[in-house]
Amino acid sequence: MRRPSAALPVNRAARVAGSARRPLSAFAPALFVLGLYLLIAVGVWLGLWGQGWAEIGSAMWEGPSQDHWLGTNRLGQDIWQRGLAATATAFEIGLPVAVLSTLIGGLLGASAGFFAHSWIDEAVLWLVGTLEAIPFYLFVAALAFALSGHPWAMHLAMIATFWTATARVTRAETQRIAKLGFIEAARAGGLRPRRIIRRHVMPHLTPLLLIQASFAFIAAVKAEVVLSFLGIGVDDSVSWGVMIAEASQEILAGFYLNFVTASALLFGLVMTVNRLADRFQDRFDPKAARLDACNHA
Amino acid sequence: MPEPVLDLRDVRVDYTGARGTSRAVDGVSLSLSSGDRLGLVGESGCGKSSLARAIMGLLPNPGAGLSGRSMRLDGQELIGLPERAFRQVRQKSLVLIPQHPSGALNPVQSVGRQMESIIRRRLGVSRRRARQEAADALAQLDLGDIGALLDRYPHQLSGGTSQRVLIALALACRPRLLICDEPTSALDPTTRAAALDRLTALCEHEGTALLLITHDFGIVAGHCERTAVMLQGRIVEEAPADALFHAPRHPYTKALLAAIPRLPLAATEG
Repeated sequence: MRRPSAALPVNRAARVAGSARRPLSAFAPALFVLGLYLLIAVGVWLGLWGQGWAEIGSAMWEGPSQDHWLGTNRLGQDIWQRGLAATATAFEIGLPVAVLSTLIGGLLGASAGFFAHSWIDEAVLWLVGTLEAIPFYLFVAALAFALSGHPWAMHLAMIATFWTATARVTRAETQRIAKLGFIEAARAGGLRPRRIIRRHVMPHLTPLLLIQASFAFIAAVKAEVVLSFLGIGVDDSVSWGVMIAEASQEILAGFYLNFVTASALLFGLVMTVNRLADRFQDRFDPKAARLDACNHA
Repeated sequence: MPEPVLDLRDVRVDYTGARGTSRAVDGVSLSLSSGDRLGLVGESGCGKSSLARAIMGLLPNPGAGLSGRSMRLDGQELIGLPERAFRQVRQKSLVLIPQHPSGALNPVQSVGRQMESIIRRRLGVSRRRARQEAADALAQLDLGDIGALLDRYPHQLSGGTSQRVLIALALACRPRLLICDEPTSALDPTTRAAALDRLTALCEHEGTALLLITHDFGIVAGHCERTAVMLQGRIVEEAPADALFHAPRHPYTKALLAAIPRLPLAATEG
């Protein structure tokens, strides 16, 4: 009889596959910066700093000073404080939109993909197509009007439009997964569809959904800036978009601090989340890892 | 005569595509009693796998239709059975060993975990007991260090090992009917013989009916009592394995047998 001596090569394959993954330290810089941003936001929520963003001072368009680190705007408001408060606003918009749109998109997309060409699939695709047919800014304006300026109108509009992209990719990925042998095996074993989706499909969608969520976060933060610039976004609060909108008049007068502060903060956050998503994709894409393992072996 | 485990009468499977329907299985009748071992042989595309999927209730839906006079499992009619009830039947009495072993294991769960959860569901035993059953079944298949194997993930297994894991899992589930679709394509001849020996021994011991789908006459000759030859969706000849090999009646069977490569010396067929 052939002695099975599979232990050695198997271990080596496992080690090679492991080394093909990026080490956790690759996440560190981006995580550190994201942590700083979160710290700013949490501090604002707890009332530690950035509370004086609305105070109207006497000195307008002042340069940086002891009292106003980054100077003041046209109304004499402190730009540094406004920048901090706007960071919190960005998270207030980005987080709920990212979480909810990914949940909705993931759930509907997975159902549509698993029950491909059934009525569920048709219904989800119809909904996706319909929502994507509405111009985004028109949709936000209409919702804001319909909800008569409700603070969540913008969130709602973003969630309602952002989930469709997630649903599309999730549907495609689920269709691919559903054709794999172990899904058929689960079916052959007599598992209920709901259980198959939860136990055997969802774990394979997690990396994809996390990446989708970070993209939705970025998209929400950026969309807020544009919407606020257009005057249909953040109301009664401060955001990077509001600051950039103010700056449109200041730049002509040769005053850049408002614009630079908001843009730099926005750039830093978007860049960081993007980096995280990329690192994450590298680490959790099993195909990339396997390809690497083959090359090493 | 006792009631057969599996009784097919005039079973048909149709696939509906963009350019009309095509009939993959065209009026197949088969009967398998407890402990029977039937080899189903035929060329690629003759409908063997479609028949297996029809019995398992795994035909694509929509896209394929199952019809015919009757398809009974332990007396229960399966044609027209709603999916919910079919799930119960599958879970209780049927096991399929698929053609491509590596894909049948979930990549994110360790071998032990998936074997455990399946055995628990099938036999309704505790987690500990299920793990023991899994280890026992694996031990019959000459797989070396079983403790380590249970903790491995499917991508760390060779094709032959995953195939034997599936066979072990099938053994542990003690089904009424076991359908094997090319169960040993990834095994070398000696391992294959050992695995099939275990499989047939179990079927004899537990009274499991075995439907072995293959295009390897050697496997059929060695491990099945009866052989059915399938051609273009029909069973063209069914006979005890010996009779079929020594006195094939249908011209297609003769052609198939003639296509087996032979050594010029001893006739060590099977």
